[in-house]
Amino acid sequence: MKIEVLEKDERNMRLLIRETDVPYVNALRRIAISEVPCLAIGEVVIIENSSILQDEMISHRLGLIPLKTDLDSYNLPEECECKSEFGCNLCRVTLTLDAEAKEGTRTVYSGELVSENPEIVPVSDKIPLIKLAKEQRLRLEAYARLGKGKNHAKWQPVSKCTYKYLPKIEIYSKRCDGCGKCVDICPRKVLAKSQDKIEVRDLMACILCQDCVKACPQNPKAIEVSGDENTFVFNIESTGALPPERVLAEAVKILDKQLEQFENDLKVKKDED
Amino acid sequence: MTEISKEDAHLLLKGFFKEKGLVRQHLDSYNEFIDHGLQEVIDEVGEIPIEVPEAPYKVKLGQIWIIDPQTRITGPYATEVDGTKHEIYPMEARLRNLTYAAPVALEMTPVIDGREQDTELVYIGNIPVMLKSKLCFLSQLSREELMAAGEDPDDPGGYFVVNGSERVIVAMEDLAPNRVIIDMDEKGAAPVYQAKIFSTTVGFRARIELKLKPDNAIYISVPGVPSELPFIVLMRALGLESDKEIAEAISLEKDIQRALEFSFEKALGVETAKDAILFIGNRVAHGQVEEYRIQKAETAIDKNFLPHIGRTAESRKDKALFLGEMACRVIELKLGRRQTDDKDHFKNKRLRLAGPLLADLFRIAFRNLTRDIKYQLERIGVKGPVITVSAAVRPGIISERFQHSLATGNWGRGRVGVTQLLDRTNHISTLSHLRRLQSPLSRSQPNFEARDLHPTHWGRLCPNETPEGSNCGLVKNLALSACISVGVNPEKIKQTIFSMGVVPIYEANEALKLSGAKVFVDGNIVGYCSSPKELAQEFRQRRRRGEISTEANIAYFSKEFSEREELYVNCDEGRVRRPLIIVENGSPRLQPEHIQKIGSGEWSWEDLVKNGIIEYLDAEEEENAYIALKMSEVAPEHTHLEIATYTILGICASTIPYAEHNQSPRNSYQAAMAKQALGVYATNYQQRVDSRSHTLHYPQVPLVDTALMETMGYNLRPSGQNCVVAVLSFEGYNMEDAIVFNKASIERGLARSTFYRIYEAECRQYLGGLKDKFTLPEPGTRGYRGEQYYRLLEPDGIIGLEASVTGGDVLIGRISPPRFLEEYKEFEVKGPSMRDTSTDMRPSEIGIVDAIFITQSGEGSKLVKVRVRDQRVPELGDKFASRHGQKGVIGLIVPQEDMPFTEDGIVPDIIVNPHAIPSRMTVGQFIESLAGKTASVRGKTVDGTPFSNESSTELRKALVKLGFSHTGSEVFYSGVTGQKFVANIYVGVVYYQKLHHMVADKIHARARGQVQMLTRQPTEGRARGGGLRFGEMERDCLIGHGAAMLLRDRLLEESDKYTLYICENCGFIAYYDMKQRKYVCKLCEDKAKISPVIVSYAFKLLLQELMSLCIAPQLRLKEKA
Repeated sequence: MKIEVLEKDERNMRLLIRETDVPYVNALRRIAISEVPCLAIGEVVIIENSSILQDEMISHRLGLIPLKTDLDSYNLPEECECKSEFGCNLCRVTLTLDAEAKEGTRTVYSGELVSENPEIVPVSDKIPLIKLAKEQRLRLEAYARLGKGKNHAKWQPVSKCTYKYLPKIEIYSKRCDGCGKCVDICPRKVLAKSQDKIEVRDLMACILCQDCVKACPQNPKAIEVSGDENTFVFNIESTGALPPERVLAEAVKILDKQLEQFENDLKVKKDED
Repeated sequence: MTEISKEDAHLLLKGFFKEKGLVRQHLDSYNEFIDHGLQEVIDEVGEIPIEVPEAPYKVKLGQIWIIDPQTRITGPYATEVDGTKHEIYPMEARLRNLTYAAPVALEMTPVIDGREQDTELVYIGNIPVMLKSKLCFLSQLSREELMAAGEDPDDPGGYFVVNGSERVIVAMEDLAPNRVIIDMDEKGAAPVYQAKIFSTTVGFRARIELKLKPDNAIYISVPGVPSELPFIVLMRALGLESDKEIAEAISLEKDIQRALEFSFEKALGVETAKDAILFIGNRVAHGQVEEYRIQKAETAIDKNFLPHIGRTAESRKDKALFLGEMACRVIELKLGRRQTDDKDHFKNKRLRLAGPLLADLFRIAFRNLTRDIKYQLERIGVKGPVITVSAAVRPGIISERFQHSLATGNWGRGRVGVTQLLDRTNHISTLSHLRRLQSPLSRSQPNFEARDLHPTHWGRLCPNETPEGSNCGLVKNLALSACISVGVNPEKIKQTIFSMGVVPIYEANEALKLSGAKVFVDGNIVGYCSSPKELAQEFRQRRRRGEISTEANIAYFSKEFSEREELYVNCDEGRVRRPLIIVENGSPRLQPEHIQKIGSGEWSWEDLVKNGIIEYLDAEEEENAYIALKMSEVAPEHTHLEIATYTILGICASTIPYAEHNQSPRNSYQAAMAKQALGVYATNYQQRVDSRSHTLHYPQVPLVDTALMETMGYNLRPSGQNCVVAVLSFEGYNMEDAIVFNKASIERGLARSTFYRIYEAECRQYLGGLKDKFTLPEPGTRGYRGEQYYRLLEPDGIIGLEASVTGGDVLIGRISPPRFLEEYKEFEVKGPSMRDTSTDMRPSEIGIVDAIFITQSGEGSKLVKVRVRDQRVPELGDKFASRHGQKGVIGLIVPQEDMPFTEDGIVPDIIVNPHAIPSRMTVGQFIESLAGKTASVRGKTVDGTPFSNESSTELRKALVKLGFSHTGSEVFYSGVTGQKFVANIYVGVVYYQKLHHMVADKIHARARGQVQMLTRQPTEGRARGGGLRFGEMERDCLIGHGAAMLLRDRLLEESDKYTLYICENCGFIAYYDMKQRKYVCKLCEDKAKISPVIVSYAFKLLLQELMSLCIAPQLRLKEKA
């Protein structure tokens, strides 16, 4: 397997993965979505709520706020030594909120949450939580814990994790009369026309939609589009909880662990027989 | 002339709705009733004669006022127990279960020996106030003030608040009164030609029928006259004595007169008016003295016959002419000179709205009141020199009549269901309910023609919005462009047309009568005219100039329709009319500068009407119009231009994007479903006390909107969410209209809603000073349910806020005094033992106590309302629908990683099955999907207005520019295997509605439970914890399989098993006597041989019921073989 980084910043990462196969890449994708843990508010104690939103709606909104996650200092609640229902310092972060609209209607943003650990804060300060009318007040204590995306979408560390087959475009110049229909119809401007020839301008942009093939008036078609099932353009967009490369690394780790577990299970089975 | 663009038409309509609102018809009708209707009823009565033997006097009734003489309150008010009165807003009425009603006072003046005494202003009762009408305080308030009064500023009004509940008077669609309808009855061997009329005057309705029977003679049926009267006899009775006079009243044409021959034969021997009256008298009052017979006959022709023309002897001549016209039409029909009238033509229909219906009630109530006043005053007699009328007035008569009728919908004379509880599912359902129309035709009879859509419904009634099933086509909804006439005085119009060249009927000469056009005003023939076509033109011109009321319409019928030209002028109320742009010489009168004026706010809609740019046409006048649909189509022949084609739709149908691409029944289905979608039904829902309501957590404005959504306020109170929808089969979990949901979408809040239910309890006071009490019932109270059910109650007997409650938990603890005397156990020192009458949660419902309202009811007792909320996260089996009649339930909730995805990371929220599409032909949904996708990427909504929208070609072009395939489909990869799908998947953004049928409200199972008292079989229905019916067909199935043991188990062991004791000697039922400790048969005594038999309790009941019918069922027992 060969990996080439196409693009990367704090939130996004685009990789070209060669010499692998569909099941492996898909497994990584699935794990990134459903198994890589991150922090999210799981429980809320509402001390005072005179707003118009019900308690359950506010806690739902709190839960969906992505939090910057420190995977190394915190344990998953089910793996934590404390074995406590309420959690301990190693598996729980407490955030508090005390907001009151004194002057008039105002919006309470995620930035107003006060965390006991300055590292664990909402990814963005600008997420609106609730609008309070004058003299309404909201006081609460929220407990963030690690969790997995398979249990609730709020624990997904990625807002997008996807891939596509590497596109392969062949233009048969013998059959092509350069009518340019395929160029016009292509939504991603993959093709270009120079003189009377059609050229691939931006191969990576191709989405394999085959519109160009269908548009080609020739019979047999002068253009052919296919995907390479062993080469992938892999795309991760993090919610901000974890850096994208960390998500991928964790995913690989989890996959390895799962494979190991599976192998052990098989061995145990064999021994039993 | 430049084009009127889509935007211009929209601007125009915005002006229209801003001025008129969506419930104008109710408000206009009610205001008219308050302004004139009330007084008219009073004037009909005029005075009350008080027949005191020694000194009879009268009470003259004067003007009616909306005021309380005592406190000078002039609007809706409440009276407290201590007698104080204060004005109220509707919100207080809803909360405290009051009626939102205003006081009515009447000037009454006793007249003794012709001398008027002091006038007294007497309070006579309360009249319910329609919200946002003239009398309602809300009509004066600005948006901010409305909010301060606890109202939703966008609430349309147009309904009543009675005992705290909102009631609508649904408009009735009736056959037009006072119009002759001719038709042919071909049931018999020879056809019967008939003319029918519902002659209606205030408070009286008479159905008159004129028949030309196979014997070629004409007969008339009159209410109150047992047999049909020969036509000529009636004509003579009405004062036309000579044959010539009679024949000329019908027609001057010889052909028509000849057809009267047989009718004349029937009246042989009845030569004078006196003879004729006696002839009628002989039938009305057979065998009575002559004087009485004559009197009876005269009442019959004066009061019961054609009462709308007049109810005195003076109007006999007019009646004769009217009857002549009826006969003429029937003869013309027979001679083939005229077609039968189309009963379903909308020109023959009138709407009866709140005003006339309330006037009916008030008339009856007021008559009762006057009777009561008369009785009271006569009882008092003349005691002193001063007569205080107010002492004899019982205001309850009127108040209670109104309140009772509005609360129950019971209008008297068997008319039920006139009012309905206002539908508050969402904003659309409320508006649609306020614009509903009901036809009085029976729903059990087919009435196929009456249910059909008629061409004249165009622009008046919605072609799509009607229920399915028994009410199909009988319940209709007003189209957006429909306006209801309030009427104008016909006398004024008559004077105008006389001045324009119409010759009054008594002044017309023979030539004119023979060749001129007949002119009718409100169905009555008033004269003749030599140049009708020009007259109609002139009439219209004058109306456009504002010289004639815009309420009047005129229609000219040329010789194409009958052999005579005819001119009809309508000025009555209840006609459904629609506004149109006037076109002259191929150019519309609406010019860009007018649009500009409207846009800048300089002009309002009414200015357009005043300036003769727009006029209203009723169905009859529209027959003369040639209307262009589009600006570009306007040709010299056109007389009018549609403002916008989409206004032919009603409230619900106009929320469907691309409706013209759908098969029409699908639009009807969607129109019905739009009323079940959850949204925010009113912004003041936190203050409201509806017994059940839902709110959607994150309602969204649809990405694909329609032009009228804004005017209807749909964008402010939407009822759905934009979902990414892929068309794909998914592991069989979306077969048969199921839909697959993305689990992550649901977890992120998609389609979440809250259900609110309000529980209510009142501390009643009983006769004898006993009272209910809100308290925590003590153990030992009769009916005590067990400690755990009361655990959440606070010392005041009311549950605490935010308490989590489940079925059976008590919300309001209350104890009541015993109901019956026998419940008093002797005379206890402590007083009577109290019963527990607490209010508990419904079984099978759960929730959290959301709000508690503690207030005082109208009777002064303490009233508590507890609101319980329950969050509803979409689950398997919840019902959803797109806006194209495509409904389905959730079949599977799939984790996000298993869902198909695109390379952009798009994962659908919903997956629908492709098989839902071909047979239903809801192409509109596909286009919406395409449009929704375009809108979401480009960040601007797409206009999907029916008939005038962004076309799919444009959308596809836009999509390619935005980087999507023009086909609307995309490359998807399977979430499970990771492989690319071979086919591209059609995906886009479609607006989905969550409907209020949720599994949580329906789920039900039972093992053991309650049984009915009478039959001891399991109860029925979820609310009573009932069993699931093992019906006939299920029984047949088990019999077919020979599964006797299972059958016995279901029908006996698990149902109403009972051990019956039978005396083998006599075969009758015996019993076990506990005292004697033995089995007894009262018939056989010692000879008895008693055996137990296991039977169904229902069978035992049957035996006993037979016995009560004096049938002796005997059971012969035999040992089991």
